[in-house]
Amino acid sequence: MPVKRYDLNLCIGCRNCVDVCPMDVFRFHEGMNKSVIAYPENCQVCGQCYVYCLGHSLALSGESYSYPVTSVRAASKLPMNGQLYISRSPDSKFVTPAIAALIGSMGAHNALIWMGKAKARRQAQGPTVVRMDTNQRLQHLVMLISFLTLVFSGFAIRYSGTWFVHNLGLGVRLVGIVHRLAGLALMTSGLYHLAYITATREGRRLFRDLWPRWKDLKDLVTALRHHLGAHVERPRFGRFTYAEKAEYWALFAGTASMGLTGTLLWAYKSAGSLLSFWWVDLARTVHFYEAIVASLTILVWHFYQVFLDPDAGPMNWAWWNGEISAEHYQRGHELDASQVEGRN
Amino acid sequence: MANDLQKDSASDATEPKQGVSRRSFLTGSASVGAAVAASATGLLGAQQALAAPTGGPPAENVVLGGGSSMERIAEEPPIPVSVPAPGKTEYSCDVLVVGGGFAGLMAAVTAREAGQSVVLIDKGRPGFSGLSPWASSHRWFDPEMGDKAEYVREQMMRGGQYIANLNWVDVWVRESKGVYLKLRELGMLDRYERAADKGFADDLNFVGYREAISKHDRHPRVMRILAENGVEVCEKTMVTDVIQQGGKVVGALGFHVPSGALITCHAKAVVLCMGGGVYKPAGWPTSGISHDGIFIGYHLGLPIIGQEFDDFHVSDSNEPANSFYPNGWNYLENLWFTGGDWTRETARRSASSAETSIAKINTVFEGLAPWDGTRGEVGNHIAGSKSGKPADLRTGKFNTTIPKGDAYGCAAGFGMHLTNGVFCGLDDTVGYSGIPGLYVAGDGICGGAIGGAQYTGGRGFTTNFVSVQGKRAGEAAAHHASRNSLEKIQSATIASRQAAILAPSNRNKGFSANWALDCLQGIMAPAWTIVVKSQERLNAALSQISFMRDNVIPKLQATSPHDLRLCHEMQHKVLQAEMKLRSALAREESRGPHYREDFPYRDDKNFLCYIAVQKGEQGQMQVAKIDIKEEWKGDPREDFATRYAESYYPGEREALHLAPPAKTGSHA
Repeated sequence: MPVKRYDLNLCIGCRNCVDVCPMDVFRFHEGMNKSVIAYPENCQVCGQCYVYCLGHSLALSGESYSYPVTSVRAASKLPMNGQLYISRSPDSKFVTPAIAALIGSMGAHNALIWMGKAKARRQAQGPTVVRMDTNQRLQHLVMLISFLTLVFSGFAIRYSGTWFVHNLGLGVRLVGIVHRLAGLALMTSGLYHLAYITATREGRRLFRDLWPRWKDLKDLVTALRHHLGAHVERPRFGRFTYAEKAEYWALFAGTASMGLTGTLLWAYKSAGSLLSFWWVDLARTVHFYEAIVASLTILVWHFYQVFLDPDAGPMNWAWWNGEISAEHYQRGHELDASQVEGRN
Repeated sequence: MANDLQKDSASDATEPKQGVSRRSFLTGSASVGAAVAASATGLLGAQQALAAPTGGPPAENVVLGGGSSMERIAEEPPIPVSVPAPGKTEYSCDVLVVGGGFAGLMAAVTAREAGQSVVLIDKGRPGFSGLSPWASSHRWFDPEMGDKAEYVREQMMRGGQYIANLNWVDVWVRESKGVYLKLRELGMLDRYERAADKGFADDLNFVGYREAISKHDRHPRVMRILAENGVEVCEKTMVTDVIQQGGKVVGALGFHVPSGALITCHAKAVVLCMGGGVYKPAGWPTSGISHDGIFIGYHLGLPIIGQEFDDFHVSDSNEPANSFYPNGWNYLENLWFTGGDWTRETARRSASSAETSIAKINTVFEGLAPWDGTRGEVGNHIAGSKSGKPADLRTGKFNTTIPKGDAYGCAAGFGMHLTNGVFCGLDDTVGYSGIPGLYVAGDGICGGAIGGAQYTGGRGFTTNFVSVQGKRAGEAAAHHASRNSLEKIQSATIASRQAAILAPSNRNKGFSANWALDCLQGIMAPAWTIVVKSQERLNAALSQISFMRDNVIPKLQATSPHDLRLCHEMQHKVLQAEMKLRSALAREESRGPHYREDFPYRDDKNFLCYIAVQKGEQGQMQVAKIDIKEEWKGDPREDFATRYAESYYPGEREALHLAPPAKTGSHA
């Protein structure tokens, strides 16, 4: 029926809507410098506010209910009265694809160069050691794909109203399904991992080597002091450094809590009636903020180890073929050197 | 959702509030639950709700792409508790013009040009309020292009079904071109490309088109014209009373709608250009007008005519309440020049004007098929002048396509154009009400009846004709003002009238004006009340309207200045509903859009007249017939079939024992 707010952010305080409305629907909030749709029940959908809104902040809805006219047809099975008239942003039609094409071509160019150089570098490196076996690599791959999917789909749902997501042309419903499937995959791989670290020998060894010890904390302090210029030697690590262990346990806890809160949100109706509804709100809050922390952790912490660490070269290839340069490994994991020799 | 939040925050309205309060987050209110339902994953309930327009359709239905690079906020700031009163609340002038449409604009400018000081009061902003913003074309009579006055006269006589006021037709023939030139000089008639030719129509880019044509836009120009001509404008002010003192008009009272501040205007002459009214809009942007003018006229004791004729406008039944979509291009494009299309043949053919109403009468009984997914776009084009002269600018109406209207009655209460209003006498052609100093001009307020029973002026006639009326009333008012001295409204009168104006705000309990409006719409809008009438059903409606008049209207309560306007409008609308029903009961025949099932025929013997209502001595509504001039009634020797071009209402032939139809135009 009435005028709608498309986006209050866009209201520039021009007051045109207040001035032109013949029905006295608008007020103006001086403190916020924004107009207020104060009496939408008296809107006659004449649209003057909508066309004169300098910030394109208003939308006009074609929906209508309980308006007796002399003849109105019955409801249709087709969607009726659902049109929402909003202002078209002049950039959305041309600029977004243009930016995508420009940056995309830069990316494609660099990806080509990078692939060539990385391959050459890998071939040039000396003997390697096995860092991840096939089973572990598969677990990692499932996590990698599902995690990235979850990040992109999750934030696309969260920011579905923004022009960028809007211009991707994906409906919220489709993205929601993808998000849930990816969540299922991640949770399944998590459960598999629990079985792996209890039921297999290799798993138990991995878990033992990843178990946090007092030495890890001391290593952290020593590493910081060393790189800050104190006259101490850099720490010497075993199979896993404190940084890798921290990441493993963060992932462990994060998957558990994201899985739990995600499941709760998925089943929010029954959860909301079984539990109190604020559980759902709590789950929402945790799920969203933890998603931010998790994505940034991967970006800042994990990608450093894989891509940015000068010792890793352009990339640590372990996730792909399980191998890592023996030299690199020995430099980072001196205390595990016996094993290296044993395996080389 | 947003309304809930607004109400929550109304008590601490000065504190801007975004998102949800900690309290409602912790208690997990139902509204948060609704927001949760809006999306399966996300964040806090309230913030999630901001991502979609309040109560709006899902994102998939949004057309035309987005506009923001940030997260959208669809929640409104709190409604300010109060709006400051305007700096000036008391005015004095020679001529007060009430209403700022075409009639008011011309009245004000003309009175200024005659050297009088002018104040113009409008309920909204001139240029954007009332019906004038929605004009789509402009018509004038041009003798230099070979137009023949006799054809226009015959067309209006026959088309108006023999009750059109032909004195006004003669005036229009003489003055319409001058008024066109004047409006052109003022800048109201710029020429520019239509939306379809500039590429804005394909994706319904109304906003982009508005921005592209802004330097030609006539709507904001009205305020500039008034300022340039030295007219003092008092906007957003509803006039509720015109004060008569010592046998003449001395000014008007009202209130500034946003603030509720009382406004006084002392004037030597008053021109009412406030238009007609509707009850509640559905698909036609007419709701700013609410019979304010005829309410004032009626309570000054003036006769009101033509209320039995309804103009049931159409809307697009896909979105029947959306006024903008079916009118948007009309609104934004230039006023198309029309005229020059009068011939002997069109004059004769206009005698079948009842066909328009008959089609609507049939439609309301047949209903409509469910929507097939198309938007029903039509051109709504009409051909231009037939003069054949290259210099003739009247090229016709060719606006960008608009959807075909199929839902009738979307402007219930709306009178037939240029027929109804304050009756000023058969010989009046200046809109003089008979009360010294009071004039009326324009559609729905001046009962000049040039439209007769069925408006056949042709597209673009109204904008020009009401401008002619405004000009003439402005001249007459200026003349009156120049010969009278300013007499101020007595303070005792101001005090007592202002107490009455504010009465709805001072009630401790009462009814909502919005609720009363829905009730009124429910009584008056159905087709069986307003389109196909009978004595029984009119009386049934009248009995309900009488109850509203006596028991609801006196108890309407206003809890804000905005509400105060609604309360007064309701009072005016209910009075007009009573006029409409009593007039329709009195016209015991069918004519124009007035169709009586119990009298389904034209009764030329008894009803070539106007039906007038007037306030009686004891305050009761009196109804009377006003006979019209013989020369307006057509040739009495013509037979019925020729007189009405063989177009018959359902049941009319049978009732009049006429020969079987030569053509089929209707079925009951």
